[in-house]
Amino acid sequence: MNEDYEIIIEIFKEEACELLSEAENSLLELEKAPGNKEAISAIFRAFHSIKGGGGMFGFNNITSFTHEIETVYEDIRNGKIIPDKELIDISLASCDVIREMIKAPHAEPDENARDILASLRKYLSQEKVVTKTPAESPKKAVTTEQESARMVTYRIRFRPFPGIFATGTNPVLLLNELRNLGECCMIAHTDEIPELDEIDAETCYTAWDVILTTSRGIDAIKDVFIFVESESELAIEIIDDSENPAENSDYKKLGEILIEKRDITQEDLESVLGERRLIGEVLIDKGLVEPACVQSALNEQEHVRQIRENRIRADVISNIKVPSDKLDKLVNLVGELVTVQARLSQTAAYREDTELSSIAEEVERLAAELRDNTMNIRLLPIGTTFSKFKRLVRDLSKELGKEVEMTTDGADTELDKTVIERLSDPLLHLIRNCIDHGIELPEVRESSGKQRKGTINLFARHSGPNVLIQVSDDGEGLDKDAILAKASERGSITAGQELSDDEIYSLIFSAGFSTTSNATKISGRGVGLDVVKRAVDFLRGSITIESRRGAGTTITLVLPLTLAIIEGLLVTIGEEYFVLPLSSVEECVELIQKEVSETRGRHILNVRGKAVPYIRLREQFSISGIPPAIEQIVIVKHGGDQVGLVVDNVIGGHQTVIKNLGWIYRSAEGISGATILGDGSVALILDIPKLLMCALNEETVSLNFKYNI
Amino acid sequence: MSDFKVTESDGGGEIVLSGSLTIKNASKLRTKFIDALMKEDNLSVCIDADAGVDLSFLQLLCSSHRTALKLGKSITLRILAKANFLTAVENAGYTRRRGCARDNNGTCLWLGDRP
Amino acid sequence: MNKTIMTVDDSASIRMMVQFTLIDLGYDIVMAANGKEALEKLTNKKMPKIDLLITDFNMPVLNGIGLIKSVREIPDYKFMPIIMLTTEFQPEKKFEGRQAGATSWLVKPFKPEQLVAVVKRMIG
Repeated sequence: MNEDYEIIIEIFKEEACELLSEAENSLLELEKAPGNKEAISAIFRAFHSIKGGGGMFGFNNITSFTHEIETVYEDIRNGKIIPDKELIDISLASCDVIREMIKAPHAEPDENARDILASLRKYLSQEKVVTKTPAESPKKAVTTEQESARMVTYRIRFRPFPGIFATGTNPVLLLNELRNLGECCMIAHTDEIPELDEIDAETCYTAWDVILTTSRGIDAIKDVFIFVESESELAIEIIDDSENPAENSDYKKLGEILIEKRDITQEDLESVLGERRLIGEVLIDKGLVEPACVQSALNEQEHVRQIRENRIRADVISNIKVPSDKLDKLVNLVGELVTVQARLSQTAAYREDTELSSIAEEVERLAAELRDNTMNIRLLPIGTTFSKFKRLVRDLSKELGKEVEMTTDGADTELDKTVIERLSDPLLHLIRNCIDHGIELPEVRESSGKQRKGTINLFARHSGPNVLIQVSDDGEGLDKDAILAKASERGSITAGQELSDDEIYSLIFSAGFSTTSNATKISGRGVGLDVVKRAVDFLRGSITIESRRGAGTTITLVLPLTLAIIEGLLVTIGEEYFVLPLSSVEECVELIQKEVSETRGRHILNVRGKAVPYIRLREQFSISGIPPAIEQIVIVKHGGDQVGLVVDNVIGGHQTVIKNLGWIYRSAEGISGATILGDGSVALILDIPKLLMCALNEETVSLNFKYNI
Repeated sequence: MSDFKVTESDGGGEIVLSGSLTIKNASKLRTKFIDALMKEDNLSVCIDADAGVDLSFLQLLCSSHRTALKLGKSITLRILAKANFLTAVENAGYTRRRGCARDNNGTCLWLGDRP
Repeated sequence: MNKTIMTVDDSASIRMMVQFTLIDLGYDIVMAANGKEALEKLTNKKMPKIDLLITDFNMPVLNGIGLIKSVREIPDYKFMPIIMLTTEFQPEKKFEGRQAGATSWLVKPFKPEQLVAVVKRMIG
């Protein structure tokens, strides 16, 4: 085809040159006899043909230039312009321009060409110049494309004009084209066909009812009939639209359809309604309607019902509901696969087998992809949880006589299903707290220059492997003095103790903590923010609080995207492996014996001048054996606290699929789960918040700060 | 130049139609049907295997059937290449579950897949 | 048996394009450079029977309208589909062609696919 195309282009170029010579000859004749009509048509025809060919073969420069001169000669032909000497000169120059364009079809028109074009345009009236060059089809294509996907069912009634056969049109081919557009059923109406003595065999007596479901839009249907539309009867109606789907698959009653199509009248219908038989049958028997009309209406009913049923079924299929235990099973399997893959990689590395290594790499890549995809299935947007609180905010603020508006950002942020489920309660408490303690009464707000209406904003966004969720209000902010007073009253802190803002704020998360003197109905019935703390700990997340007195409070929860997989740091103590969530790890340092002795046996470490308590995991987990000469300390951080964990060796980063421990191990303090390593051995996952609590409890006396976290 | 053929069987009451049974021969075909119906009380129309039909021919068959009904005669189809013919009937939307109002004795030529 | 299409155009390049486009689809092609030549071929008993005529609008000797009118006079071609090729997209030109007996039209410039679509619509 390409070769063919080149041949055609060569022929076109030759042809165009010949046409130009013809035009030039005729121009010279015209110069001699300005009224020579034959010459004028010959010139017009020559330019017309060049334009047509140029358009066909993609020479747009030639087409647009020739279009102008063709228009001039059309006007000359119609007597609107009288050719003068100057015009003939310009025309001859135009021929040269076109000839150049044929030689270099895709070069930009030069100055000379533009000058000549300008002089040509002087002969044309203004409107003529802007008439579009032949390219109006692309626009249409865009609109039809936009309409794609939208499945619409049309009722088409087509009655061709009687003489349609004589124009060479076969109506059945038009029907076949409709069939190509989509699912289609059609029935011919033959009642107009006369008997043999009256029939004109060359006349079309047939009309059609067509029901067509297509995504191509009404223009595609009209396009089928474009050549016969003006003379024929064509009615296109929409009877079903996937954009505005009917609620169920029921469709109009037979009588309704027949009336709508004017096959029967309302009176006809009423006259048969009393009968006990099917309406269609009765109507036919009484001769009120042609059987074909009834069949057509029945077809329509059946077609639409089918389309609607399919749509309902398709809706079901595009969203499958799966019991979550099936998903969990999948996650477990992926976990095992990741484990086996790690073993494979290890084995391959150990054997120094390059072929096996490359297979292992491939498996690793696929396993990672499978893992990510599986985790993705478990992700849900947090928006549904957010919107649950709208009602709560409304009811609660009304009850408390406050005016509160809740806004949300990042409702489409996705996170693990389990995380979302476990987050619902903590968020509820935080929001309650905002309304109860944060947002002031409208009058108070007004007097301090704020708007009567307070705002609570829920905000979510991804941040690396974590999700940030913020609950902020523009209320009165936290009262540090009140918190401190309450805390010392409860004995959580000792008077005179120096605390950072973070430390003070985190006091509100301790069990049973409340600063309001009289507990309200809403919050402060013993169920405090410690619930939030516990839930976030469970989710391996952390909480930070920012607050400005009088301006509001922002509580930020940082949570892992998923609970099933963590990035961990693999360490050993004796023969045992442990995994620490990498998100809590701050740094690794060596434990130098000298420093240990300097602190006189107290478990305090000096990290760049800062006192950090540490615990020996060997002791914590009662692991026998002698520690190595140089131990490692992994400094972990949780909330605002730092603690060192002493281990034998730090092996490195390790991506871990978490397996829950059986109930026997539930009481194991400081362990949150287990994982299986590449070589098949088990590593325990450390529960950092728990360990921190242990460490802090042990060291509180010497450190002189004690508060319950 | 007529590229269709009508053969009358001797005494069998059947005409065999072959070739282009289409619009350009429609007028001539009409005459053939009139002649045949004049002669036969129970006319059988055989559509030959090589026959090509179009809408105009289907209209003619319909018209012939109606004429037969009025004259108290009968007309039946005998199709030698069913698939081709049925495709043409279906494409034209002529297939029926029930004959037209004039078909008082259920002899409509387009009923179900009877042809 | 292949269907035969006649393409009538004074431009050889357009005739070639029509030919190359349709021959690939299994049609036989007969070409004519103007209306007169086309009529001669249509009435010549030795020429194959034509199933579809594609003709240009503006042609020397005998133009498209003249050709269509004459073709409809030939009994064998009374019902033959005829496609007009034209650069005119004014409705009155279409109407003129329609009155003369054209079945459909195709506006130049057209893409091969557009030609194929119209041909299929006319003769399947």
